[in-house]
Amino acid sequence: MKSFKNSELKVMPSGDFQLLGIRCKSCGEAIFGLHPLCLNCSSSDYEQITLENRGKIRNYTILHVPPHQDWKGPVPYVVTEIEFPNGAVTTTQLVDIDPANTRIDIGMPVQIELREADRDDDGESIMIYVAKLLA
Amino acid sequence: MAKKVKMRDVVVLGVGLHPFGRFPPEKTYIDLAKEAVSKAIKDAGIKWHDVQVAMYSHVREQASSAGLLVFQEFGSHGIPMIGNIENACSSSSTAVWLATRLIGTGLYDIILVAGAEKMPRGPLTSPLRYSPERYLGTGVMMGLYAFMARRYMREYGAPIEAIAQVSVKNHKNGAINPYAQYKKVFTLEEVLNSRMIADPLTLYQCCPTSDGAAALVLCAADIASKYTSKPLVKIAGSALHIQKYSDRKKCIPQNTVRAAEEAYEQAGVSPKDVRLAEVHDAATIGEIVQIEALGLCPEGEGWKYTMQGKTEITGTIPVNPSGGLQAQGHPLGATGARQIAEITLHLRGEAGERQVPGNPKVGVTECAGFGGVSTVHVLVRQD
Ligand SMILES: [Zn+2]
Repeated sequence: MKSFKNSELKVMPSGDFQLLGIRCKSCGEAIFGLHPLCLNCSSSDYEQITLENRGKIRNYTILHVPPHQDWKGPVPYVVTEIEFPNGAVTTTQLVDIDPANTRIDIGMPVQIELREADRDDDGESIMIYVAKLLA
Repeated sequence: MAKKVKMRDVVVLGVGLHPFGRFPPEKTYIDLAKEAVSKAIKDAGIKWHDVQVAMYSHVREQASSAGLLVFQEFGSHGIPMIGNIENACSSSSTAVWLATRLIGTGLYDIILVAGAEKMPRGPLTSPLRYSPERYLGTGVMMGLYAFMARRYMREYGAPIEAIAQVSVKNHKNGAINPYAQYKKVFTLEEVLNSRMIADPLTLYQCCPTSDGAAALVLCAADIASKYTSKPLVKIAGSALHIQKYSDRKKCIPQNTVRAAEEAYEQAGVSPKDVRLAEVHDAATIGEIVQIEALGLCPEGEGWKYTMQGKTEITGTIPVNPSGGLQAQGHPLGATGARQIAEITLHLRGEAGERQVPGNPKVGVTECAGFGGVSTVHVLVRQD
């Protein structure tokens, strides 16, 4: 089991995972993913942090068209901007939801989960992170 | 920050368009671009051999140095030619930004900028082939616009009807533009009831994918009268800015705010002097936030201006008299040059049935693009 982008998602052989980010010691901004410099102020004085596996919906849309020809996901599907408790933001899919019959709104809490996106040539799972509404 | 250097005045000497639309596969991008370039050369009153630099822009063509194949149709007389200047939807406006500086600093007198595209059908997504985005269905252009629309509606209390009205207005304009892809008028109900694409944006609020081409001949102002007796339209302001990380705190695109400030300052005009605008309405909401960013209306009031008809051709500040990306179409590489051509035609009084009345003297273009780019050009007729 491995991740797609090592700069933001670390997947352990056990299936546990960590979302990675940076906190800038210069401007204080918490930023999703690992970057050579703080994206806000370009300082190199930052620490690597682990983000909580939960956040809230900052924005969302329900897409009614498959994004490309090879799409295997549901249609319609929901894409959300997720804000973590420390203020870092990412965009991902909101899964396990029937958008026609579920209320989605800004501010609703979500948890982050792993999903298998694909398998590599050796059959090993390549994982991505998704969001799921907290009951 | 760029150094402030004394620049020569640069004018749009000639414009050329190939109609936007859908053309059969055997009509290649070379055919489209060739027609636009030929028209621009003719309109400018120059000969091909007068061109000193030729620049081409495209985004999606599966060819390297695509522009060189176009330019070599006219013959290669030993001038620098650039096969592609790519900056997403802002590609050919980025080429104009560069060309304006190459002429302004005195290095060259006449530069040709051309942009063309033959686009595949279907949603426009981030081009990465193997990426989480591809499995998640994120990075879809209209999804990003849907975020923008939802946020705008929440922050400024705008109803979806006001945003959809942009499509009604622009299709009305496109219907009288011979170069537009869509010449069909829609009612507000038809726009709102069209197929949902990215909630809250329906099909008729999203620009089509298009084929088309546009070309411009830019020239040092002091020699322009050698070639043409047409009114000269000066590129009085030209700015390119990129979104900053902190811009996400604002709903109104701050890259355009900064580009507009710079371009207005160069031109010595204020937003109040602007009589018409061509802006990047890839989705309806784009037009509303961009006219606010350009200072053409107060922040949070773009939707009211739209509802009140102020942005119609006959309104106080006509926006997208061409029909915009919504109706004119959006062949990515051609759009930036096409917007500048459109404003030039209006400032010359040559825009035909869609001409903005009142003999406008100052117009502005804004072209935004994936990756956070925004280019703004202020055009002023020289009397
Ligand atoms: Zn910082």
